[in-house]
Amino acid sequence: MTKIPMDSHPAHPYGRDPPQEILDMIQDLHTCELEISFAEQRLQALREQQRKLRNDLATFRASVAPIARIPIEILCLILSAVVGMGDYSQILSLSLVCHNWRRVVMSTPQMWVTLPVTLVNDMNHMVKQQRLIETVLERSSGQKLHVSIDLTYFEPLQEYISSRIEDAFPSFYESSEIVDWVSASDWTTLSVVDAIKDYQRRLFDTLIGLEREHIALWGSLTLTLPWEEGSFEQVVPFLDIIFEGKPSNLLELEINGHPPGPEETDSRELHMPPFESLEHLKCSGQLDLSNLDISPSLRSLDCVDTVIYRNLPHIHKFRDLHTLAYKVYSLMIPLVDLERILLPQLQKLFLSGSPHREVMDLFEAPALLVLSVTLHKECYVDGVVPQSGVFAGPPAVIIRGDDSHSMNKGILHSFVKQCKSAREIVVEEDWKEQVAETIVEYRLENPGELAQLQRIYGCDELGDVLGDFIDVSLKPP
Amino acid sequence: MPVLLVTSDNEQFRVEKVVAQRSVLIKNMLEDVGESDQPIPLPNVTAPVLKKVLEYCDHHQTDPLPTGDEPSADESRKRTTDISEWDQKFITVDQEMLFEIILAANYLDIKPLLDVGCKTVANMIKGKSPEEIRKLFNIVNDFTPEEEAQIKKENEWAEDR
Repeated sequence: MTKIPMDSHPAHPYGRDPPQEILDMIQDLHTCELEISFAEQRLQALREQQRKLRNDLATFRASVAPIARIPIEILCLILSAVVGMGDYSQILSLSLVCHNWRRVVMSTPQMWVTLPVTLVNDMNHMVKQQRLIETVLERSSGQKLHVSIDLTYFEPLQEYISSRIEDAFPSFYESSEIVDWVSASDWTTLSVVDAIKDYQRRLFDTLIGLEREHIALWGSLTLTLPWEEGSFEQVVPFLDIIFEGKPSNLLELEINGHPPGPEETDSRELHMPPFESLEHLKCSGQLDLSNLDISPSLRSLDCVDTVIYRNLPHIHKFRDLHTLAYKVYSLMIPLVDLERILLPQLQKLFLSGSPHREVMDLFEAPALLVLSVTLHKECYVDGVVPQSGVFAGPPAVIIRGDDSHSMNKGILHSFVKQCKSAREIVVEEDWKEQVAETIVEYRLENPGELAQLQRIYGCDELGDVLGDFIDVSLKPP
Repeated sequence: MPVLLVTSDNEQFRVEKVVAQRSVLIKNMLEDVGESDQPIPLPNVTAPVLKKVLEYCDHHQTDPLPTGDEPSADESRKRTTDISEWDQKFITVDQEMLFEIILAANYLDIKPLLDVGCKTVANMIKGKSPEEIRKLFNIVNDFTPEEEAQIKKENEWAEDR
């Protein structure tokens, strides 16, 4: 232990000759402080060692963790599955996990091919949309893009400005006075209106590309249109911008108008350019697309309450059409002339709303794999369908209904009869007993028929009735 | 005719050819060597993992074989993270085994099994924060706080969309 010389304390507070007791205490205090300093240094060194060991251990555990063993291409598959339909907040989470994951996220263009655009009047939202569009265009590296444009949140500008004024002024009277004043004047001359319109135009310019270079990358487009009075008219200029941009490489087009249902409104006509490469068309919501010029390469057509029937006499020109879904909720809409659709290549047919006798003719389609018929209560068809013809019939038949009381025994019997070569029948809950009964009756009357029927989905508790000759244990797929 | 498979830990599995051929690797090997009693060595797969893989192949032996074509970008995009009930039960295993199955499916070239494995991991990740993901898979956060802040700033457009 070191002895402290007295002159180390020149301004000694205890006088020139302090008592030895004081000097000893000073000495002890100094010793104590030195020991604390050593201990603190040691503690710091131990903490550093602990931190390093913890890090090393975590690194080691990470290096032997199961996920560390998978190759980068499998990590790409997993992260792509997480992102799915372009949830970009999830992409951000993934890119914040570690450098390795960030590299995968940033260098996988397939994760950046979804471009969801929601058009609103709010400037902050539009700034974010602009950044989203620019980021996706950059990171997708020329991949085909899946664009969805939702125009249902687009409120008329006047309403938007009124609501912003109301937000800005807490007093109702004050804000309503200003709103009245703005409404009375020519509100379209307000500079904020110009600014919003400019920004919206800029957004669409980026989306389409000044030389249409971006719209050429659009592989699919989903358009969701507003239906309220006033809103639809407001978005028409934006639709014109899109269609003038000629998305000529589109393979898939989906247009959603009025939500499907029995409610009747006038159809709204859309004017669109010819689509030269379209393979899949899906439309719903009382839209009139009868003037739409579709390429002959169309492979699937799915219409719900959409006036497209004027195109259907030409349906034979769609040489590659293999899937047709046609659903109408209102008998006021003219029905499809099904006799025209005897396409040898038709593989899947989904009909809903009108179980026409012509449906039976579709059993003549030799490639038909799935026939799904949904019967609605307002779609009675009396009488029995024609008995003629021995058709092969599709191997899977799906019978659905929205009201069990509306079941027309004659039609059901005919369906079952036509299922003679079906291997599987899928029956909806409400219909299973009637279908099972019909099958048993039919088998008794026509021994040897329905021989290929192996499974009937949805009738598991009817095993004692049907179990003799078919597997009824399976649930609907 | 049964096929004899030998794992890395030297265990032998005698399985029906139709089951073994769910693996494109084994199918190609069998086509190359023709009719033979020779055991097929699988040096990258251990016995417990092969047992699980064969359980999958046995259950799916009548499924149509996937075509050699790679799925198009559209198909990949539409691919959801839905897994059938049986597959879900089958793949309810610990993390170690899950990744072993994924690696084995990749090595043996069994695309539907690889798909089920990847979807399962994807479902585990979905909706989790970066910290939760790190904890789940034992991943070290190698970002500095400054880097993290920078990434968040660059991606403000992706938040609260």
